[in-house]
Amino acid sequence: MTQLLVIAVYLMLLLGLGLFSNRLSRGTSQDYMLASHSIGPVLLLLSLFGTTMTAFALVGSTGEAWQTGIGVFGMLASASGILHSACFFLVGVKLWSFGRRYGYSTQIQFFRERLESNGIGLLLFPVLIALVIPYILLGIYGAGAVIQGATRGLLASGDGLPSWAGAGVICLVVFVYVFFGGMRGTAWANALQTLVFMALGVVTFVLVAYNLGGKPSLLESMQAATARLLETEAGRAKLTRDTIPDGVYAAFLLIPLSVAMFPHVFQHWLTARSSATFKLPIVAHPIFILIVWLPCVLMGTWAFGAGIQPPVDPSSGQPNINLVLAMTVNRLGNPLVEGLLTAGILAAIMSSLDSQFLCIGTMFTHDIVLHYSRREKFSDRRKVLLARLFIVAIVAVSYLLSLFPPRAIFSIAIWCFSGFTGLFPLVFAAIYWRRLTKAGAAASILTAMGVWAVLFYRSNFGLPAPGKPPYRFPEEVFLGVPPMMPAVTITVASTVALVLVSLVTRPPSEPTLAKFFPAR
Amino acid sequence: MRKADYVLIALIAILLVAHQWDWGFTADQLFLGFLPYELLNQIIISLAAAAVWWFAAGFAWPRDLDSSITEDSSTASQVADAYVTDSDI
Repeated sequence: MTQLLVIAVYLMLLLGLGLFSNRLSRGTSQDYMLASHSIGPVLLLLSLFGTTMTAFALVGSTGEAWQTGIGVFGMLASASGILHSACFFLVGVKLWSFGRRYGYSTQIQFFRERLESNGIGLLLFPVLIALVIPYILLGIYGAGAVIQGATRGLLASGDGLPSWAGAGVICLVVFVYVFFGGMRGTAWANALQTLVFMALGVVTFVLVAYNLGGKPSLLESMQAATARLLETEAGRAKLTRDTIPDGVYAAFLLIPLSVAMFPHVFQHWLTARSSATFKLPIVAHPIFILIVWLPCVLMGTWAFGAGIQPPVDPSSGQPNINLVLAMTVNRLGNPLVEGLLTAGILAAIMSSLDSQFLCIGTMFTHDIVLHYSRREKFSDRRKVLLARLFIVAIVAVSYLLSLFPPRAIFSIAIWCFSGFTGLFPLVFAAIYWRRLTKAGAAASILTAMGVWAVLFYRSNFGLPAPGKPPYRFPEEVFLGVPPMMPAVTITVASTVALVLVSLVTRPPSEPTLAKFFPAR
Repeated sequence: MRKADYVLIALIAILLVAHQWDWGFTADQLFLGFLPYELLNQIIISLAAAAVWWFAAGFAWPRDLDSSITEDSSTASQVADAYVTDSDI
């Protein structure tokens, strides 16, 4: 009951914040979708960080560390610290500048003008939607599962709140503050949620360290927890990065580049008050990742040493590592902490969900309805109404879809990151390469999605047979090329297609090039 | 490109090499008796990344980003909505 109360109080707080931010709204479509480009550095840092971090930052990182050891920090966290900021610096600031200058609200508006092509929008729109939807479904589905787990024993049958009910409550809360608060409400809610999951992560870490180490001081407890790992060969391996092949470690450098093509991150970039607003998020992002990931990686590794063993997931035949954090926290026997941690995990989920709902609403409004209608038909007030109606529809459809998740929902969502990574060459070339053509861009998108689809099919839809490692391509060493993560193949193929086709087709007109590459 | 841009490219390259470099730390090498050296190494790289991006923000920041933003953004937005080209509908 304590856990349910903590979750309820947290959700009420979010609702209050969303409704309050509605009072700050200027009532325009620019304010609803882009907060009138008024967001300052601290809010941009917190909202961007909350948007890019999902529940994986807490739950997945702990489970991966339990399975693989401390090497996951370098492979997933510090790599993101370097490359997310690189994306903000090299892509975000430039797109913000174009967006402010030429009035964009979506990525597709930029690509249409940069490539002088209406068709590129028609091609990119379904691709972006198809890549974001599984990400949304995973969030909703995950939220339902988290609440169900946290409220176990609440009902007379001993079960927790049904997953569909928990997911419905989360959808409703996110819907209310996005619907009423728009981007301003989303940014404030994300900021709150970022602070919540960062703070609760650190608090949980300290309590878990004491619990697992069992010593009077924090340092002694941490030493004892680590010492337990030194007692076995398997435990010792977790304290090095020897468990991760060098090729896999290197290939993971590509995954953080996906951030540059997330449509919801693009929308957050456009909320910045000025280009200088980006400086704080760019500098502080690696430190924020450190603050969130380091405690989770240590907890996961120590949990292995403490003998915590998650049950086997029947679909994969592997331990369900997503349960490691919950099992570790359950050892504390403190419902308040469990409730707070649940609130932290929900915060991480919702801080991505809200931006995704808003961005899809914005994309349907701008890229489809307004783009293909007579613009004088739509007053500013009607644009806001339209965006809100789309948000209603998207939340409803997403929730209904989440009730029937495909068996491979987790792997589909993970594969979507590879799809976004495959689109990185497109956005980078659009900003820095004058010679990019619309045919080259189309070839790059089609190649990325084609290779993605073939590899996904070959991987048994992302579900390796029990006991088998994740899918790699080539499947065996081919002409000296070792098996690699799909993201590498997809990105290389899309880059080659982009360059080759661009070089043999007609570049954009001089006025367009002058617009996007002004003479210094 | 400015000198600072070259310095930034070099710093990012060093950061990526350092990130990938396997120093071969063993399980027994622990900082303060609990933190594996490999993890300490990656913590330092995260902090170094923040320092490199601080350099970028201070010395290699792109120029002319805000200079021509004078147009009323709602008008520009309507233009972006209406953008249609000749050839490819």
